[in-house]
Amino acid sequence: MSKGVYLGELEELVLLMVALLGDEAYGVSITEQLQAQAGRKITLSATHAVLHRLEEKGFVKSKMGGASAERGGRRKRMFRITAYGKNTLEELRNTRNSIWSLISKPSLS
Amino acid sequence: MNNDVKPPRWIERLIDNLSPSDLAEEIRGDLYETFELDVARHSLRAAKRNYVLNGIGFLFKRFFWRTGSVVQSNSLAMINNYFMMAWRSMLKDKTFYAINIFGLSVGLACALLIGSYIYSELTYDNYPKNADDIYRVEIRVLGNGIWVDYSNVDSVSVRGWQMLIRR
Repeated sequence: MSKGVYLGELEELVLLMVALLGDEAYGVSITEQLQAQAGRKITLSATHAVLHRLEEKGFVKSKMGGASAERGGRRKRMFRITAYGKNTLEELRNTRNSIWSLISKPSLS
Repeated sequence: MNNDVKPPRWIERLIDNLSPSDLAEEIRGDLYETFELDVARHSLRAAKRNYVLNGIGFLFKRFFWRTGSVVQSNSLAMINNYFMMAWRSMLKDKTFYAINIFGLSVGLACALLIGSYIYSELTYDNYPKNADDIYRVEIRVLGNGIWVDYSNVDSVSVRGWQMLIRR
């Protein structure tokens, strides 16, 4: 992970959900998936706050989607992971994997 | 969807007024969608409760949206910090704080009661000689089936009252 960039635990999870959902990532769907995939129940406002923080940091980008009737005619803000965000996630995973491979099995038990 | 199934209006209004205009639409949209999901999954009551909780959550998060451009004044941040510390230490020692606050409120209530008693005592005139022997005569009259209290009694009604007693 490059210097000076920090990705909190919840931020990482939310970023993963954005990556997982692809074109369908917005506040409600991310909150739902977080509960379904990771068992984390967080409030809608927490999701929004994290998403805006991620956008500030450049991990995701967003644009307003089309209006739909089930939302009372209001548009939703769709999020997409950026290349930078993807790279950061991969780096995180690689770092972890390399550390995991260094941990010998007997020392875990 | 019928008309009864609607989220509480006051939360919507609060969010409209307080959130930055570019965020209000997506927030209300997301809240509404969650509300409808909750109605379908649980009950209308649970959905409304969730809606209020989520809405209040957004109101709290309001402070995170305004990062960067707006510089909060230092003393305001300091006072915020005081309240936050007080709240957190209260959550930490709940029993201690409960006793503390209970004691304070009992003390304050006593002080107020004593104050009002003394005030009412001081409203009586004490400059005449033999002020202790001054009495106020009141009269209680039953008329049309209702007891009525009069705080002053004129001579006529005193006479009438005496006549009533004599009988």
